[in-house]
Amino acid sequence: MRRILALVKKESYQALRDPSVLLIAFVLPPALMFLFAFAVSLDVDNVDVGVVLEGDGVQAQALAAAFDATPYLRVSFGRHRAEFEDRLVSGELKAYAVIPADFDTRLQAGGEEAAIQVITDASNPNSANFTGTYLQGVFSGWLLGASTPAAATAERIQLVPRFWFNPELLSNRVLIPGSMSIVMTLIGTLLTALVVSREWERGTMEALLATPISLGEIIVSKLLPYFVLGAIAALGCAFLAIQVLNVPLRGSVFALVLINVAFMIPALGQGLLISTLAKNQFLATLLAVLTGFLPATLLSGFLFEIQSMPWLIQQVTRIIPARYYVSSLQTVYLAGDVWPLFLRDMAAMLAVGGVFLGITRVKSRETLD
Amino acid sequence: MLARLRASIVKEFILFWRDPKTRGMLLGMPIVQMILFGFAANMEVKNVELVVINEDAGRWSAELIGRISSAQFTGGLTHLERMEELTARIEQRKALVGIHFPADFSRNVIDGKTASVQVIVDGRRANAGQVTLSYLRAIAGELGAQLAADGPDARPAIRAEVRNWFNPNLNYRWFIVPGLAGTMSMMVALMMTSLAIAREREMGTFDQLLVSPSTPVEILASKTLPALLGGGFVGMFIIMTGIIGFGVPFRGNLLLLIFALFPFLFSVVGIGLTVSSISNTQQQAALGLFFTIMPIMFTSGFVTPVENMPLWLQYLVQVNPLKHFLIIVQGSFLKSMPATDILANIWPLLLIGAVTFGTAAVLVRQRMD
Repeated sequence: MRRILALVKKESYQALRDPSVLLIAFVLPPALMFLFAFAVSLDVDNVDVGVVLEGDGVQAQALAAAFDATPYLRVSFGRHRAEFEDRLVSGELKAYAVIPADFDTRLQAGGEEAAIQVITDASNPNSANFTGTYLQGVFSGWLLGASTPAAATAERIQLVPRFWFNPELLSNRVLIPGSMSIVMTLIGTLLTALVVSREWERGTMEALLATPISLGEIIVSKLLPYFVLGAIAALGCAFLAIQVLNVPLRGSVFALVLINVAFMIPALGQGLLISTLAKNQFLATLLAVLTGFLPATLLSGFLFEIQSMPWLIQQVTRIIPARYYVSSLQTVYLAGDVWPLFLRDMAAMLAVGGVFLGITRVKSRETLD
Repeated sequence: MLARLRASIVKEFILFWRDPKTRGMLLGMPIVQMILFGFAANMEVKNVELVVINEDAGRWSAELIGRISSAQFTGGLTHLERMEELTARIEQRKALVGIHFPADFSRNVIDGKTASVQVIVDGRRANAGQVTLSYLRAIAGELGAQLAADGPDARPAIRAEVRNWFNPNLNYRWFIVPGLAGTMSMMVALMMTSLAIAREREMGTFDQLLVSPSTPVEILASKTLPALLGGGFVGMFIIMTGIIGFGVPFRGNLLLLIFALFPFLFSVVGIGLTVSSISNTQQQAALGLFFTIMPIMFTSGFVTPVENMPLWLQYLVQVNPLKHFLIIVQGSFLKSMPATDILANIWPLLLIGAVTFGTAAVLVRQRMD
């Protein structure tokens, strides 16, 4: 026990003197979180759209004014479609709505012909869908409010949506907890893999093995400081998210702590396994990025829906601990304590962690080769 | 001089191929990226799990449910009895959307009034939820239009027609694969540049180069030209794969696009040189690369649009070469972008390249003494 503590102390000093540790543990997490808080956003805002007002009807002008008054749009007006087609191609505008010359008549006549036409730049399909739907929404909103006979032929079936847990529909509320999984993967997996494989590469691991300390004790003493570092980082991230970035914490702090601890185990286990299999830094970094960082970013479900992925890849995500971490983390922040979900996710994370540590145990021998 | 240059370039390529580390990285990263982004990561919404509580005994709720259940995006639709079950399912992430039909739904439809349906969406999966809602609205709108056409008023509802230009089916792959040409060629060029110099420095052969007959300009050229060629090759390969393999339509000027690849890679190589000039070992270069690629990828518009970022960040992002190149490549594939627009996006690349090369030159010269 005393030996472990001594090693932990040495490990901590070493870690704090190492620039890459400081970089990855203290500089990168806030940088990443800010990246996901501001740069990565799925919320459509300040969209540059055009409105073509082909005629001068009263209703047409009223509708044009409605578009102009909409908060999320930056509208430029014109008289002819041709003006806007080029701007759509160059990317200056993301969409344009055409209010035809006979708009007022079309409203009276009913819905035989579409009253207005909306053309979106679908080279980015996700944005185009949002923008198109949004413009349609502005139009139907205007229809309902307008004092026209058209109001009588409003939608027959109306869907009234309620967005639970994120009624403001702020994508960064969802992305920020997700970015935490990347941060924790960096610290738990990348950093650990880097540091331990460095010891193997430099031969200091050999020296350690020659001492009376057992391999098990060495491993514990290596993981403990990074566990603590991970805990500090998790705390820092949570603080940043809640106080600075306005992500609400609707669940209990107890659950939050438990979820974070549950993730550190497979994360550290993976880092350790990588460093055991690849006894040099370069390969360890590569493996940590390929099997830790990339899955945590792309396959954990916070940015891209797992359900939309091909079946085979969906099955692969089952063994990615980040997937369960993101699911529980988003829930504890935005929804509250949903224990059936937490327990399911934590069990999965611990199971994967157990497998990693098990394989590491098998692969580690107290010999040198 | 040219013969020397050619010899150096050939030597560089051989070195990259021979070293298993760099070979692994050069092959591994792009292939993994291709698989992940080409197949896994997408913003399409499929296999959605829905739950329904139907308090209405009439035929119209059954009709709407039937249509939703057989829609393409629906993965499964489960009927539930009580609100608590619906709540639990959504909280535990077993369903994305819950639909609640009130008891008077069919009656309202028959009476010609607007019939409302409550749709509850998991806000933790806001993007997928919003897209699903738009699909559901389309289905409800269709049914509503049919009802209006059959009813006593016989007037279809006033509507806005949305036309998704360039990508009518909102095929996400048409958006991502052209983008991959940019990201993957960038990755390869960055890796080849920074690893080359870092490797030389690590092995001490950099000093040897300096005493050889090659001039500093030649040395720089011999490090950067292979990266340009390598990146260019990968870029062209992805473009071809996109057109032939993935079936993405190409409506622009292929030669102009391939020509544009080189100013892009020129700016990228400048960045790679800067990274490698501050790294002393391959390990550091690898980490530096990794932490450079991430923000570049996420702020370029590759995943989420640049327009969604706050305005101050949008200005900052102008220094990201990938952002400019993505406009060019997506424009060339889908929008038949005219040469003027393409050239408008090329000159920033040359500027960025000039600045980064300059910085790298200064840094390298400093380090050499």
